[in-house]
Amino acid sequence: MLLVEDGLGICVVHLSPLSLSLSLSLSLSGAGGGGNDVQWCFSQVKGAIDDDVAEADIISTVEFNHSGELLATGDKGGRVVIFQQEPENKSQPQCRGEYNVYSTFQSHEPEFDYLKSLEIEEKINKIRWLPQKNAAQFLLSTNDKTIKLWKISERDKRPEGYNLKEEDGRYRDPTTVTTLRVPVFRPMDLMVEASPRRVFANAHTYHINSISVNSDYETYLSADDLRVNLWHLEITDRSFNIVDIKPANMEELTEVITAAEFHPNQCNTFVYSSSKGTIRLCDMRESALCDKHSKLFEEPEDPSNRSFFSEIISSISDVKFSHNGRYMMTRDYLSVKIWDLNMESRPVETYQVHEYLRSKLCSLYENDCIFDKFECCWNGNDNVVMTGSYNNFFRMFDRGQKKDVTLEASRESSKPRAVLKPRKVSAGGKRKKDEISVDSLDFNKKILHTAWHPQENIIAVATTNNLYIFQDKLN
Amino acid sequence: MELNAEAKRIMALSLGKLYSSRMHRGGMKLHRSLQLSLVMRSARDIYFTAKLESDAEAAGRQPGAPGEDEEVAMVTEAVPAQPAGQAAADPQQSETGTEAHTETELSPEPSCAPAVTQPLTEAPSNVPARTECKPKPAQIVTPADKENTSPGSGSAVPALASDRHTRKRRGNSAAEPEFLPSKKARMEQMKGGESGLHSGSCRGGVSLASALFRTIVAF
Repeated sequence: MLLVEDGLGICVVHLSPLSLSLSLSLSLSGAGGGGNDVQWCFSQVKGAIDDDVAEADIISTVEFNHSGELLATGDKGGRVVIFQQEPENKSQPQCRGEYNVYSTFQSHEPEFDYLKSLEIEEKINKIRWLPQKNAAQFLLSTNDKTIKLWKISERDKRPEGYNLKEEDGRYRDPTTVTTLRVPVFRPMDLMVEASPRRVFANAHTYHINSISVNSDYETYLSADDLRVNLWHLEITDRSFNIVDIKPANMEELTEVITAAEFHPNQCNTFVYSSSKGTIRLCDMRESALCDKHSKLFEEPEDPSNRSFFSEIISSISDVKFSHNGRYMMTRDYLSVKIWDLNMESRPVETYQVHEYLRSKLCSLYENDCIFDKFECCWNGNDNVVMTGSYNNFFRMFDRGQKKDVTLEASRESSKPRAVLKPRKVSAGGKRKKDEISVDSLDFNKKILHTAWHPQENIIAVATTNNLYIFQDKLN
Repeated sequence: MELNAEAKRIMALSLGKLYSSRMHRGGMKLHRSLQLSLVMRSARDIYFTAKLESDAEAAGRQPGAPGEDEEVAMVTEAVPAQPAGQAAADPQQSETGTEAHTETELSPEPSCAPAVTQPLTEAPSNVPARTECKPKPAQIVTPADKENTSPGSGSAVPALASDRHTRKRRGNSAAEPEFLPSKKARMEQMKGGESGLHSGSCRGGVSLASALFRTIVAF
């Protein structure tokens, strides 16, 4: 346990194993690979090793900051752990700095809504960093109902030599004060403090699924199942509702909002995705309430793929703009789609993540895996996209080279000098050597959250309770 | 028939999931409830399609075909006419308001009216209208219409005559499915407490769940 002083007093932080465990840090120069292919190597793993996973330690969100120096994770227990990349070692230029714990704090606590007799989970649904404007770092973290703006600042000096106080803070007997001295700042051990600067509460009736900071760096949006609200970062007592898809009669409900994001450089544009597999792009200049979309992105359903479950697997679980703002990517249960913002009729690229699961949808419905919400991310150049799958597999799709690879985040492949070996799932029939059959996939080991460093080939991949950091092999 | 069995199994599974989602920390998730109801609707539609086909083959062309058994009625009742995008679109209705439509088509008999599908969103003032014994003329579906009614149109609108018929038979049949404990009393309280309340975070899910469970519990 740790006592942390924040702006509101002292709070007790139950440390998550993520911040406590020693990390294996290895910089690898494995056997040479070929051509222009990136070869991914294990770098670090964070979190407890034992198989018995405490529910509070389950990672629920992963996000690099804008420079990539900081990596934040949120978990089901409401904690945020921030890792900082060490500066590059001059003597070992081929090794990138490793990520070590920088700050840990309890962002959200469980709450109880007395009016509805409902517990409000403390699980962190999303973390979004603000761009750095001064020495401190700021991030937004949200649970189902409340968004908080946290300031993370460093303190490496403290005033010493007070005239009226002892070093421990007690006031000196005034009669003993015979000289005048002015306190001076002296260096101290680095202390990283996290304090909640704003709390944005009571604006969402349904469960918040997304937050997104606007490119104006003054406003941000938050989205729940039926509404999208616009906030100003300085104002906590009101927000503007910009999308409302709640029907007058709830029995007429046919779709919900699943994700929303601001355009990376057009501050008037945002998108939101729905459970029906559509994406709506809205322009806030058109009207105060953006219920009428400017663009509707929808691909006609393939009638040959109909089943009991085809409606629910088309639900979009994540939407992300490319860094250049020309494309957006959506993730539904079985695929990743890249959309050109100028073409609404169909995606420009579709990548099958695990098509072999299409014939298993019934079993996946029984064990609830069909409801898993996978996220996706772009690399810094927008030419590779990544998403997670089951059995601790994750997939990367190179848009330029039209190649894809399946990799695994596991303790077994976390060996020194080991380049990650591509994995393959055999869809049926004959299983080749080194392939895994669909039936032996572990559906409890799922990778829902991944993040890519904004500039480098460094990726953070979250398994249930561990965070793996991989980087490309530097020659 | 395999398809039928599969559809039934999926419906039972979905109901179980919907029921257990009420116990989750953080309340019912609207998205999850919606997805479960969509699966149930697909299963119901497929079940009816298969059922109609097999009835047409087996029983000839008799109206009120004896092929309807308690399971059909249960399936009919089990999934209310929602998501009511379809219910709202049904042109046969002269009543205003989707909930009235849902209400009357599923509970033609006064004995069932108070317990069955009283959507939570409806104001208490509508209760007297629902308890009237005689179904309104607009809702009478003739046996001929029943045969022509496509199950794919979503809203389950069985002929009232045959519905009455099946209700009687259902009363003699086996008890409600085992996976659902009897919750009738509690639901009556819930109904009183929640009617007229503004939507909560689990509103959509609760109204789905409550409507579903009431219909099943009703018989």
